[in-house]
Amino acid sequence: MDQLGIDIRQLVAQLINFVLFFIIFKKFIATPFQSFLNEERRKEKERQDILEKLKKDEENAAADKIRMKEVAKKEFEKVLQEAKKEADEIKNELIIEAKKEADEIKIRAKKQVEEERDKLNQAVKDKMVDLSIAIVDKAFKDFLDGETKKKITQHILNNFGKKVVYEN
Amino acid sequence: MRINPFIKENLKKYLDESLKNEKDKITLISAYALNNNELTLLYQYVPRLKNSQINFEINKKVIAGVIIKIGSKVIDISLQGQLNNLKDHIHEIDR
Repeated sequence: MDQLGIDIRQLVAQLINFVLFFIIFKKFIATPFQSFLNEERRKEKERQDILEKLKKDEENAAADKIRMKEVAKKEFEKVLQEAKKEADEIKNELIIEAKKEADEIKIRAKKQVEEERDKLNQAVKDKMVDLSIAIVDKAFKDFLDGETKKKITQHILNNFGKKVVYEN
Repeated sequence: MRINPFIKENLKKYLDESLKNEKDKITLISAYALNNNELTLLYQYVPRLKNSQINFEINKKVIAGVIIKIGSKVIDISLQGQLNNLKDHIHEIDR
C-alpha cells in the first residue's frame, strides 16, 4: 500500500472527514434546502392554482357578462318593441282623434259657411226686392202723369169691392 | 199717491171723449183731390164715410188710389200700399 503511495491513516481520516461532511451537509444544508425547495414548489403550485382559478373566474365572469349583455339586450329589445307598439297605438289614437276633431271642425265650418252663404243670399235677395220695388215706386212717381194716376185710382176703386183689402 | 176723485172723474171723461173723437175721426189720403165720381164709388163701398166728417189729405207718396183711416183702422188701397204688399209677399215667399 505504501508502495502504491496510499496512506491508510490518511485514507481513514479522509473517509471520516467525508462521512462527517456528508452528515453535516445532509443535516444542515441538504435537508433545509430540500424543504425550502419543496416549500417553493408548493407555493408555486398554489400560485398556479390561484392563477388558474382566477383565469377560470375571469372567463366565467366574461361569459356571464356576455350572457347578461345578451339578456339585457333581449330585454331592452322587448321593452323597446313594447314601447314602440304602445307609441304606435297612442299615435294611431291621436291620429284618429285629430281626424275626428278635424272632421267635426270641417263640418262645423261647412255648416257655418252654408249658413253665412244663405244669410248673404237672403240679404242680397232682400236688397234686390227692396231695390226693385224702390225702382218701380220711383218710376211710378216720375213717369205717371195725373191722368194715368186718375185712371189707376178709378180702376182700384172699381175693383175695391171685389178684392180683399189689406187692413191693419 | 191718491188722486183727487173730482180730477180723476174729469180726466176719465176727457180721455173717453178723446177716444170717441179719435174713433170717429176719418182721414182720406190720396195723391190728388178726389172728384165726386170717385168719392161716390168710395161711399158705395164704405157707407160710413157718407155721414162722417172726413179730413182730406194730399200725399204724393200714395201715387194712386186712396188710404182710408178710420180711428185706428187703416184701409190701404193705394198703389204705394199695393207695392208694399207685393214687397212683403215676395219676402214671405222667399223665406
